[in-house]
Formats: sequence, structure tokens, C-alpha cells
Amino acid sequence: MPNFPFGKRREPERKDRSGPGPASVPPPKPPPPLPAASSPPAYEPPPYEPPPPYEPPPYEPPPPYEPPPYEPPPYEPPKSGREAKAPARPPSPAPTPKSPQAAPPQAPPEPRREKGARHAGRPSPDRWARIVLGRPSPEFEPKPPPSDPYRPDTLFDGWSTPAITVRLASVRGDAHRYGGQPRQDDIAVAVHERTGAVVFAVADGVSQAKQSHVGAALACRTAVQDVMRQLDGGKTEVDWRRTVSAAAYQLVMRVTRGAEPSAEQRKEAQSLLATTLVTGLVQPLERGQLGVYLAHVGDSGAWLLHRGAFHPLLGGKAEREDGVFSSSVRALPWVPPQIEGTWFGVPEDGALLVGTDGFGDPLGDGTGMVGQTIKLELNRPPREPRALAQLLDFSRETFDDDRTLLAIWPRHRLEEPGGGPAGTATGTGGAVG
Amino acid sequence: MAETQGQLLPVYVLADESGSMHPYVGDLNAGLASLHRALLGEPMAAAKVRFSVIGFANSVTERLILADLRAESELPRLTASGGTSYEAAFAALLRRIPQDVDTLKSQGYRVHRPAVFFLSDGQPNYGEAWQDRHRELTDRSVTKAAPNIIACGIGQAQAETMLSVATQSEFAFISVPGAQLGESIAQFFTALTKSVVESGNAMASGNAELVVEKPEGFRLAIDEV
Repeated sequence: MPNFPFGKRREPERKDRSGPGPASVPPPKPPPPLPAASSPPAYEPPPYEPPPPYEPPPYEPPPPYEPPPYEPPPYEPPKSGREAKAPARPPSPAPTPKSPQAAPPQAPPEPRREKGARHAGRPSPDRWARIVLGRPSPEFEPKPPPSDPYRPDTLFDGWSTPAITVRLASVRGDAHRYGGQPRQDDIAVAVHERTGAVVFAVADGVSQAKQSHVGAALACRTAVQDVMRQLDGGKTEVDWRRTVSAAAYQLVMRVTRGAEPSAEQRKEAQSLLATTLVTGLVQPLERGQLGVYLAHVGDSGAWLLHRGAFHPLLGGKAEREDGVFSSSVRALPWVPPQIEGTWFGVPEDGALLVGTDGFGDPLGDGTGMVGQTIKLELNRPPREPRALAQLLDFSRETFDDDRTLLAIWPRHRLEEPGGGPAGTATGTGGAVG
Repeated sequence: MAETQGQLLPVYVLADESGSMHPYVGDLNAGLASLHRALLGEPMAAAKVRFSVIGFANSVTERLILADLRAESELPRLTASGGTSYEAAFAALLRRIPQDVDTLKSQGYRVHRPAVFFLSDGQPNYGEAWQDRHRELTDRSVTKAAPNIIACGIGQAQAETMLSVATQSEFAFISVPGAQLGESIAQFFTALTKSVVESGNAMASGNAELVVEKPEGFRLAIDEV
């Protein structure tokens, strides 16, 4: 696997950065220190005023229901000629035959929609069909997850600051949909207004931990809150160990309900709430580039997507020396002895991807069908945030884990409504400087 | 590491087909058939398993190798005759498993540590050096893809033998004395199905290499010795 070519991996404690990358890619400047707060105002809670007593409004029965008159929509015959249609694709190959010598891996065929085709004009009932990459996962109606806490199957979000465009999605894996388990991945993202930094956390709950979905949610929110607080306090370097420890502590506190934990309660937190965590922040730099800090516990991944190649920024899972694959993970509330934020630069035509292994495992090194599709769709930010959710929920046999993906671009890569990218690559936006 | 075609768990049923199993061979075949039916109802797990059935008596018969059970209309039928050569059984796996793992990897799959479900009703042939083959098979410095072995002894099988075969003491079971052997065999396959389903579902999303269910009507061999 190629090393990250931009030569910008840096451990904050050391000032000796490795050399610059290839000449074709102008290396981003080192990160500017986060601006110190001039004088963070002390928080004063407003005086408490009890709310007025509740008085229910007088009940008025609703008017009787009258259905609106039915008007059939005018029929529009399909336009002839070259309408957008998904490329035809041969039926998926038969399951692996008994013979072990059969069917060597082949070049990836075109992705396809599960049924039907892309539509033009009238919406097709299959317009939300899953994108199939390779042999599809079986089709079935998902079972509901446990009721408390409410945990939707899919979440997606998207927005831009003046300098940074964010798209994200988290989808329940087929194994959990089939088994009626909740989505155990989670994600939280926030903008720190004064610095213009986008602060994020992505977590992958360990499936053996019964409430790892709660652990993942707690870890994400706590990590983002802690980084925001550190930025509020005017720190020029985020203490990532503090952030990760805060997330771990929150998991333990969930078990002890605020009391000091015993050794047994720590074990209970590990077996009940264990989750991986990647947290970090993205800052706008000069010339439309971005600077990224990342810290992590466990196997979730991060990649720089640049000019069609996926450059892994974190270790990720690897096959062991004995040639068999193990999915064992290290997870919070266990905190590794060494936690450092690592800095990377994102070139002005690059994108940062942070994802759980439900995304990273099928991606592999990004040279197969999944990578081809992702890089095509995420070369620039998709206009609609929900497009990322549909893309991430691709169907591929045996890859049935929850998937979460955060994608961040310099905003000038976004095609703004009304046409054209937003401004030039020189915009720095935000309040950094 | 290119893109992986999928992630697979190779599962081997290593079944005693010696003459003493003759009264129960019908139960063995019924157990295999019920396992097949159950896995067809678990498409998510079935997709991640490649299933092999190897019978052993004085020698070994490879009855099914790396099958995708969704593509099989029927599982092979076991028979019973001859002695009980554990040496032949483990030698066959020693040859078969590294080859199978290489085959699956060459097809672009990511392969988890294989699981062997061993079912026997008695003692191995006297004087065999089966322990040497077993050691080679389970020593990860000798056999890289050394399998996890779950051993279920039924009838007269001794707890010590099952503990020697299983790769962890909590993977060794013996049937409860007085239990019907046919019933024990059926329970063995029920537990095997659960293990396969849960391992298949867990391996993609968590940290379990193998989930092992204790068969009803069995107890941990470690409790016996």
C-alpha cells in the first residue's frame, strides 16, 4: 500500500516534519495555531424564572375529514432517445460453485441499481433502490431495532461553512436489519464558530457489547463537546488524550451513574458499551486547502481521496502474519497508553473521508468496484446530502456491517445552486488567522 | 490488499463414521439435513460460510469441500463402517485446510480462522500417533491457518480425549450419561447451526472469531476431569 504522499503526517510534539511530497502536489502549509481566545467570557447562568403554569387550550373538535377531489396527473409519454438509463448489466453470477478452483476474481463490472433504472420525468418506484456493487446482499424487509433509545436505521446530514463542505451518513448494516439489532455506529459533527474548525467524531460500537450503540453515541457526543470546549478555552493545540479520556470516562459513568468506578464497573462498561472512536477537526488553510487533526482508538479508518486514489491516514485492519483475518478490535473505555493527534494536509482538490470498518472493509485499497464508485461519486461533494446515504448503503454480499462515512471537502469543490463552484480556491473562510 | 470479494468462515464437520456409529448414521444424516435447512433460512450468515463435510473411519472420505450451502440442493450422506482413525482424520485436515484457505484467498476472499466441529462416539484406534498430527494441525507456528476445533464426544467418548482434541477447554463437550445418542447428535447439529449463524453474523461486525454454543444434552468435558 502506498504511503501517504503528501509528507504531512506530523506528531504535534515534534517539530521535525517529514519532507515534502511529489512536486505535482503543492504541500499545504503547516497548520496555523488555533487563534487564542482574547478573553473567554465567564459563563453566567441567567436567573431562573419558573415557567408560567400550563393551561391547556380549550378543546375544539377537528372539522370532519373531506378528501380532496381526485385529479389524475396528466400522462406524459416517456421521451424517446437518450434518456438517462442505468447501464444494462448481466444477472449476478451464480453462487460460488463447489469446485474450489472455479471463478477467479474478475475485473469489477459496472455498478447497478437493484431494480429498474434511473428515471427521467415521472418518479420511478425503484428510484431509491440500493446500488449493487458486485453480488448483491439478499433482499428482505428489516426488523425493528429495540425501542429504547430510539435509533433510526439511517441518518444523513450535510452543510457548508464558508470554507468547508460536509456530507455524512450512517446506515444500519444488513446483519442488524435482518436480526433486529440497532445501528451500532454513530457520528457527531459540529462547527466551532470562532475558529471555523469542523469538529467530528465517528464511532463503531463493538457488536459483542450489548449496548455498544449507546456507547458509540456517548463517545461521539462527548468527544465533540470536549474538543469544542478546548477550542472555546483558546487552546492552540487540542489535547487529544484528554478528549479520548473524556469519552472513555463518560462510558464508565454511564455504568456507575456518577460514582467513582470500581474495577468491576470498569469491566462492565467494557463489556456493555465498548466502542471504537476516531475524533478530530478540520481547519481551512490558505489556497483552499484543509488541515486535519486525527486521533483514534480502534480500527475505524480515515482516507485522503485525491485524484482518484485513496490514501489511508490511519492504520486500519490488516491481515495478520498467519494469513487469516481477525476482526478483533481495541475499544473504549479502554484507553491506549499513547494517544496523539496526527496532522495531515488535504490538497485543494482532495477530500477527507472518515469511516467505520463497515465502509473500510469493502473499500479495501480502493482499486476495486467499491473504490471506483466511491471516488466517482465523491470526487466533489454530492449536491444532495441524502445522495451520500444512498451511496453508502450499497448492496454487496457478505459486507453486512453498519457503515458510517464522513466526507469533507474544501467548499470551492461544491457546485453551488445556480451553477459553478463557490468562489475560488483562495478563500479561507471561517475565522482562522 | 486489493478489494475483497467477501469475508468467509470455512467450517468443517469432521464426523466419526466408524462401525460403532452404525445405529446413529441416520441421526447424523438427519442432523446435516436440518443444519442445511436452517442455514438456508439465514441467508446473511449462509453467505459467509463455506462448508465441508469430512467423514473418517479407518480412512477419510471427503464428502463435501468448500460448499456454498445456498447452492447445494442436498448435503452428502454419511455411512458407518470400520475403525476410528483420528490420525487419518487430522492428517486430512492438515492437508486440506491450508489448501482451502489459499484457494479462497486466491479468489479474492478474506478468510477467517477455520472452525472444525468434531463428532465422535469413541476412542481412537489403539497405538496411533494421532496427537502428533493434531499438534501440527493446531500449532499456529506450523499451520498458519490452524483451526479452532470444537469436540463433541457422545456415548462412551471420554472427557480427556475430547479435551485433547478441542483447541480450548470450553470447546470440549461430552454427552450427558444416559442421554439418547440420537438426541445428542441432533442437539450437536442444532448447536453447530447456531454457532455458524452467530459467528457468521459476528465476524463482520465485531470481535468474535468464533461463537460456540453448548449443545443441549452435553456438558463441558472440563467438568468431568
